[in-house]
Amino acid sequence: MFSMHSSLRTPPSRLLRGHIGLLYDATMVGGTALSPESQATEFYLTPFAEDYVTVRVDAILAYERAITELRLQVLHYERIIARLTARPEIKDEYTDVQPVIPLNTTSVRLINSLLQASIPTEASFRDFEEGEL
Amino acid sequence: MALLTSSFPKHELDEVFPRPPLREVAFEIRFSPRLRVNSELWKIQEELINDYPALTAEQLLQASGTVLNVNVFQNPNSARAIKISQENFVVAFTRYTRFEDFKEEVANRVKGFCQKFDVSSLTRIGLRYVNNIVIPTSDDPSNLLRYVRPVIDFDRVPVEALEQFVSEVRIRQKNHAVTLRGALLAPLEDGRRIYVLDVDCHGGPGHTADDVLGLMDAYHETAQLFFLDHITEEYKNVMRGKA
Repeated sequence: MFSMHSSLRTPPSRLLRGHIGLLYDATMVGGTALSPESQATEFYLTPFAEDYVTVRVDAILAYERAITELRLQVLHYERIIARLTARPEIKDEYTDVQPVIPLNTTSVRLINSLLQASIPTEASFRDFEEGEL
Repeated sequence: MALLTSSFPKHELDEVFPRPPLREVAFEIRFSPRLRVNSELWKIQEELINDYPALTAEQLLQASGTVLNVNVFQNPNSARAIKISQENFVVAFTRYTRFEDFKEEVANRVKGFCQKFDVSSLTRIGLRYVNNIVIPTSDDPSNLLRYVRPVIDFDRVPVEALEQFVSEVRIRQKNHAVTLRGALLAPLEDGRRIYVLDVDCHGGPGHTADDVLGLMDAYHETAQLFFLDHITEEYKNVMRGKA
């Protein structure tokens, strides 16, 4: 029970003061509920209290579950908000300038020689025999 | 050390101490969730508003990970509170005069609530007493044993070396159970210590709202036995104002 007693608590500063709250909360689950914390724990203000707390594992797990659920909800709503507030993108090919990578001079010479080459019409490709090479 | 091996004579059970250490008493009923409680809370508020004018809210994180919303009606002057949620109803006093006064208030309020929201079957009934026993300032930790008899074997844990401790046991009685908590808190500013004696008598499912009064008497008697067993004769004199 991280709860009798117990409320959604507990900023670290209150742990110093609420010894009795810790007692009720950090032990067996399910005790008879008591009066509100503001009535009960103010009496136990003690500046000399040590921060020595025994906490049940299931209480920690309960808090972690609650935190995880809340985080998922935050993400969910953030996505919705992002979708609703995002502006649609308009693609304009004239404004998008694609970068052009220039060919080097060797490549240019090769391409020019290929374009300027004249191939006789009777020329045809044939397989090579091994002995011809 | 045996616990409650001896019964107490009637005059000891009937004694009313002028200076009791009782800090708080609370009575609670629990039931299967009633969703209409939250939506029709104004109906019960009409009955409570004169005696419990202050209204606040609490949120309890339960072991299942869910959050329970609790409405708290308070009377700061008389130090009383009533807490209502869709699955429990609590009457709590932090200024306690007599058991009969507390029992009368519980009976009236519980009856009104159960009738209004058609609560007949209860899953748990509990009566809890929280006592603050002030141990005088002393360099000797064993001073504690002048007033109280904690459920700790001091042959194994030397009382001279004690700084703080918490003990909690759940004991089965004939028709109900008792959760007995004892704690020696850290020293106050002036060096005094507080020993908390918390006696919680409770019963499980199978009871109805009509059983409340009878169970209160039985739980009160059990709590009294555990309390008297836990304190010493010297502390009784303190409660009588003689020491």
